[in-house]
Amino acid sequence: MVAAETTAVWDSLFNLYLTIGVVVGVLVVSWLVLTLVRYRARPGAPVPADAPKAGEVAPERGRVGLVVAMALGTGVIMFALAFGTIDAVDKIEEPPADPDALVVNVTGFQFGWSFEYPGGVVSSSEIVAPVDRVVLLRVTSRDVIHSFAVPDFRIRIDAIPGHVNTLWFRSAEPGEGRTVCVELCGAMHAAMKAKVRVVAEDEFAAWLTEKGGGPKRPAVDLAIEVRDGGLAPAELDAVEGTDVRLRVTNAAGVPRGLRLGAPLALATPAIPPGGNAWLNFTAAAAGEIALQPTDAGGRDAGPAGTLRVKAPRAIAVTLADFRIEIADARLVAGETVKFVVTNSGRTPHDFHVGRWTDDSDARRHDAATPLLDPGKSVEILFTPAAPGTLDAWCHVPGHDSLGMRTTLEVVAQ
Amino acid sequence: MSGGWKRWITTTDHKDVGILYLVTSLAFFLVGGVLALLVRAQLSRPGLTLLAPDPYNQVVTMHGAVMVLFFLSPFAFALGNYFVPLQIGARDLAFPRINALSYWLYLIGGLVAASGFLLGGAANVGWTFYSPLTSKAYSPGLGVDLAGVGLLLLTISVTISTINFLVTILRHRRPGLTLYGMPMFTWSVLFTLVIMLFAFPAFGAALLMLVADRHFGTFFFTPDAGGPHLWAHLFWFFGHPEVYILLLPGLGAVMEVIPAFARRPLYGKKFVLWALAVATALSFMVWVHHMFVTGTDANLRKIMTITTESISIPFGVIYLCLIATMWKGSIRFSPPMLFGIGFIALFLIGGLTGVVLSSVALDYNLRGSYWVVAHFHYTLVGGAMFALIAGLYYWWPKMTGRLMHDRLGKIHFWSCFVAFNVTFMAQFAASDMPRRIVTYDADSGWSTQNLVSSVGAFVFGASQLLLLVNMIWSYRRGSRAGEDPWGGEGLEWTVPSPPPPGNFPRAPPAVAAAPHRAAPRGATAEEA
Repeated sequence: MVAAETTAVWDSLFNLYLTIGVVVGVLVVSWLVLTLVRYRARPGAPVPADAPKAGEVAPERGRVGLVVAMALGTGVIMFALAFGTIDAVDKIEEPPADPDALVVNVTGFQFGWSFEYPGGVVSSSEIVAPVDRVVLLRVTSRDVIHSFAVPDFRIRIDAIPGHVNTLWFRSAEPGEGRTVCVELCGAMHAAMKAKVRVVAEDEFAAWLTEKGGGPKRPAVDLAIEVRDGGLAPAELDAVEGTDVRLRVTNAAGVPRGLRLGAPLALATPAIPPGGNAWLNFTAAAAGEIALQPTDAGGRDAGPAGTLRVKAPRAIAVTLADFRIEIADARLVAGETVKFVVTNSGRTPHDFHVGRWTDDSDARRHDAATPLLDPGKSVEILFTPAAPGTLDAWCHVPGHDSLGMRTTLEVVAQ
Repeated sequence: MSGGWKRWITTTDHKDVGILYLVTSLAFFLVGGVLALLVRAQLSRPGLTLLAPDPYNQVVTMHGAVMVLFFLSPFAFALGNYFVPLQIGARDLAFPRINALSYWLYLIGGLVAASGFLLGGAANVGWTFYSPLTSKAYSPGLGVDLAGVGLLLLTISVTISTINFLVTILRHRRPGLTLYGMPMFTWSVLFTLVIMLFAFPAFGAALLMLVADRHFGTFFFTPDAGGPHLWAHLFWFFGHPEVYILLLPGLGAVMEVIPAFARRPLYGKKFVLWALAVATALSFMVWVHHMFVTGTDANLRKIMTITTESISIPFGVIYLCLIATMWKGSIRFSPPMLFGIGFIALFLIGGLTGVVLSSVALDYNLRGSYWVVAHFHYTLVGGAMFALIAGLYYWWPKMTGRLMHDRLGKIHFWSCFVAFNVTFMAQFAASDMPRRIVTYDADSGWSTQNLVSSVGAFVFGASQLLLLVNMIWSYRRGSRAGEDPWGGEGLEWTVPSPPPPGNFPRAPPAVAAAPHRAAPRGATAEEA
């Protein structure tokens, strides 16, 4: 559960309407039941003198005073309620002034939401907001009419293509809720859900940074020893695009270091015998990088080795409405491949690999692209760990059941 | 009914056309009812896959369209066809052949709209047909086209009928019968006609534009030009008055039933008529309350909140008069009366829950929810349908010459009344559930309510078979009704049951007010 300022405003107005409704309902039904019981036909009772007669215009009945009183009474209640509404509507529609207000663009599509934060950070499975800050939502759609609702906040607004509607909320407490779509938008309307998380300001900042970092690159650990006679092993392999953490161990009797040649141009300081040093770098481009042992003064000491950076096997993945085409669905355990993912559909898609789950937390998956707008491409690297079968699917709600779910075969080396 | 099938194909007699409307609308009720039960079966437990999402959307869409447009309204038309000419002392409608044409257009329209189920998929976009989901890009199938054409035929049918009935009521009343002197059912039909005259053209125009967009490359509803809002405005300019079109004839029937069974004249007829006139006018000034969260102009929303809440004022007066009618009466609880009283109770709940929805602020959490679903079922089923069933029980003896089984009718009422409340109170209890979702999670907190609602719906559906059995039994074995089994007010109770062709063996009698009664203005015996 999670609440916003609008929650209390709505609840109190609803309770007012409900109370008056129940009171009026009970009064009317009581009067009705009283009438029915009191004036039920009894055997032998005379028929009222003015009973309707076929084909005759019935005589007039009715006191104008009673009718006017009824109209006025109803009118007074209704106008009281109407003014309660107008008061509440201003509170629900007008965001309080907040110089730190966060603007999030909410775009509905079949069948998900994209939440775009300042700086272009896009989230599709959850909308995350900091506590105590006004969050302004600018809601629209890229295809049909959707309706963005956060029941816990008591807010909802239609997402209409070609039109931007605004909504706001501010939560005083962290918590978790959900969004639902409340306008029929196609086959998978019911699946169109996302998570709402209100978190502390620092957690929000961390989330935003992580989201903004783009797809995570796979990291590999490599190790090399500097010996008296040279490097062991003399040759290392890495895959283009991965993050490498290279552990350098000095197995020689004197201080030694290691220098990496162009284009990296990195070097360890002198390592005492038996000690370790770490070099962290991205194997950005394919090619060969020289590994040069150095002495305490940084001069070359002994024969050089080689780090071979190889381009991974590229596999084209096409995301269409609503199927996934993978050029080669056979992977080898331990072999890093590069998925070149293109959205050729009309709807945003993404591409997830791992064990299929409809959980919205994409961090549990082995690899995932961000949400891709139609026509956009992205490359992601993936290294299957062990032989077996993996799922590959589009994580936009409902798309998997429309056909965007397939498998990848991983064979042993 | 004698005369063989040729009679029914060629008839222009308003009573025969009325029977055709009745049978056809009840057949569509069966179709819409089966669709409703499919929905309730699918939603009875969380996570069911009885219906896949797309077929579910077809079922939901056609349930709404069939019940609103091809059952309720034509059911009211059936009673209107049969009894408006009788009540005003006319031999037939002004244009009997146009009346027959109306019926056939309605039948064909309904069949075309529903034929999608057999032709690869019916419309699956919701009965509101919101653009751009209805565009070729997002609904390439035939379903939307079939529904569009079917509804266009219905629109033509309704429009020519409207003219026909207006002319009949305004020009063909028996001598001396003033407008004011007309029975309440005919009065309610007259208000309905006025609403139809202005509401349906908007719908017809919108449907034509939709079909043109889909097939002739026009772009009336393209998003770049504000098309989604345009469709919603046109649709609801028709759609809100449409609920009054559904309600008023039934309300009129109840206003005949209650005086007949309480044995007292309607309380404050004059005030009721003014209330109906105000409600008729207001019905065109509230449509934006269906669009409170679409981002329409803020002032328009506030104004329409006030106009919508104002509708409670005429209905408050109508309620006062309905219940006051029974005060100091001698109330007989026959099936027509039970359904009339059921209408009063259920429509009250529909109205009070509707007041909640009239608040633009409350719509920020209720739009598109099961609160809305439960509310409009209270108004359209508990309201319009109960009222029209009251009318059916009331006028059945006149139409067939035979009485229905009284006890069976009472069992029908009580099972209907209880099952209806179970079905839809459970939906109020799940009012945070979104509309039109094909399924829900077990942890959503809606499982119990949905199960209860589904059980109620199946009992409600089954109880309608009692009506069917009663109709068949009565038609074969029912005891003879005579001219006036209830002590009703209208002229229809002065002729044989069923009335002969031409309705009145002699010239329709001129209006005569009993000497001990105050003659209504302009309707004295002398004048006639």
